[in-house]
Amino acid sequence: MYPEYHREITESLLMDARFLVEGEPEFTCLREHLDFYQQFFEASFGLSLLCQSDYAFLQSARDNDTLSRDICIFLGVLCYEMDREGKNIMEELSFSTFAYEDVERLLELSSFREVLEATKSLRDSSSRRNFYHLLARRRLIDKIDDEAFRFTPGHKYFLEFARGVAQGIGREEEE
Amino acid sequence: MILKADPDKVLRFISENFELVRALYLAQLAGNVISREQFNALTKHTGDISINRLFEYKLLTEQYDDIRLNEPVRAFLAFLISEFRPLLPSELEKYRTSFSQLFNAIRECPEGEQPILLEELETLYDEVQRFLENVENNTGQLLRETQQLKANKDKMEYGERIRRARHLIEYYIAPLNSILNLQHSESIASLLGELSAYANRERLGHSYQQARDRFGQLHELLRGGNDRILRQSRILSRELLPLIERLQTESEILSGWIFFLERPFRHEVPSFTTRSYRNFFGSSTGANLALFMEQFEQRAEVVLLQEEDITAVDRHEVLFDRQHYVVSLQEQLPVDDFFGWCREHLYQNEQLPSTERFLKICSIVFEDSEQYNAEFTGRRIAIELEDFIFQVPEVRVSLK
Repeated sequence: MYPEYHREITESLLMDARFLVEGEPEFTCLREHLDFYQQFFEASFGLSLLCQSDYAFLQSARDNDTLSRDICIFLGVLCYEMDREGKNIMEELSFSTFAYEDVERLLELSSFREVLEATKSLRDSSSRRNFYHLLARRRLIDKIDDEAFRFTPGHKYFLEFARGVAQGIGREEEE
Repeated sequence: MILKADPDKVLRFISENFELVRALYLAQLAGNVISREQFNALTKHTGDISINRLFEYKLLTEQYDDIRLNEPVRAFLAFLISEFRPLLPSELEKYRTSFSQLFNAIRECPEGEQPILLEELETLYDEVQRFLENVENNTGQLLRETQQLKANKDKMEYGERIRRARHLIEYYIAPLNSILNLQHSESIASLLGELSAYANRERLGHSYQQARDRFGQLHELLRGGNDRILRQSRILSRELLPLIERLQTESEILSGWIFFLERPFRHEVPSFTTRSYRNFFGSSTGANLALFMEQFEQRAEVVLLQEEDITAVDRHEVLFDRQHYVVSLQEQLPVDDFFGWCREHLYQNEQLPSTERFLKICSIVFEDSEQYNAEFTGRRIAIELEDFIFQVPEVRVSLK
């Protein structure tokens, strides 16, 4: 009666509040029964399911989400620093592995250090270690080993947000 | 004409001073002319003899106060260094006119005018060759510019990068794409296709041997040219346009982040997902469910008890049969003690004689008061019911 991975999908999206990403059987199953799941989560929990070509998650109704803000700050600083080093941001985020050590170095030397220090979960390297664990639980990153990680397609949601911010400014300027 | 040196000597001079020549070329590329100050700065460490030779060998010419590389030298250096200013598509558009004029002239060349036909064919050949070279240089240069823009070697501001990217797309890449578009009937590429078909026919069918040879050469060039144009067109659509688009997206992402990071705690953030602590499935689900169902069982019992109560009453008997009392009252009128009569009939007819029922029976007279006469004797009598004793006046009732 229910799709094959119903329990896993519900547990991942609702209880673990994590991304489902391309490559997971649950994601494929979700995409196959997209209409059903959109109705299911809307009718049962009042939550809307956001499903793109390579990631999906349940959008909460909260508009001031600390974790979301922390991720934006983290990714924003990381993108800025990567660009400063002449790297191709989108390619790096999609295909590269990141050594914690390198990321830590970028953040430590960043000109946005003040912002990082004002953010509880990003303030120092031990706070950031917890933050990385949290990102892995939410499946924004995949841990490769103790020294490196890789971003999942989920990061694109936040890049789209940044792009929207820029386009918003562009529109304001035009007006 | 260079009067003061042999060509090989000039070449040797260029080769010996190549760094200077390259610097001069790049300066002109950036500013269209080399200003006197730039020239002085670039030749600060160059001896006077060499500086003079630059002019004596006609490598440089003076234009009022500015200096320029002589055009053939500039073209030669452009070829050597492979750094160009990308041509505006309108500069390439001029080839359309020269192609079609030469094409018309060749088609309309009267019989017997072979010498001019041969010259026209030769010119057309050169013109096509130059066009193809220009197109290749242009795409190459655009690709390099785009890559540089992407790597951001010049440390350009993000907004500036987006503007540059848009500029390249709008004024260079998109128009170039339409010049090279073989599908489009107005494009230069399709004009060359027409030329090629004509040359193909003429190289076999023309009456004059030498003309046939020239047509053959032209056809070969155009056939190869078609492939070259296709390759350039592919570079444009497969590499340049996506590269520029990616660059634009990336710049947008970055400027978005920078705007956000300027006020990270006041800016709105995207709604993300939050954990739900409700356990829907678990080891205790069965027990919880049993507990949940239990309440429904109890509620069912309560309902049953109420039903028993209700079934104890015969609803038909309970309904007040007003008509019955009216009929029996009217049969027995006049009645001396109306309230006594009421009490008597209450106990005769009702299974559950109640106060309420007693009052209902009493009301039959008062509700139809126009039918009855009521005489009050002035005495009061006590009427005793189950739980009440009414002190009522003694009333004699008769029909009007």
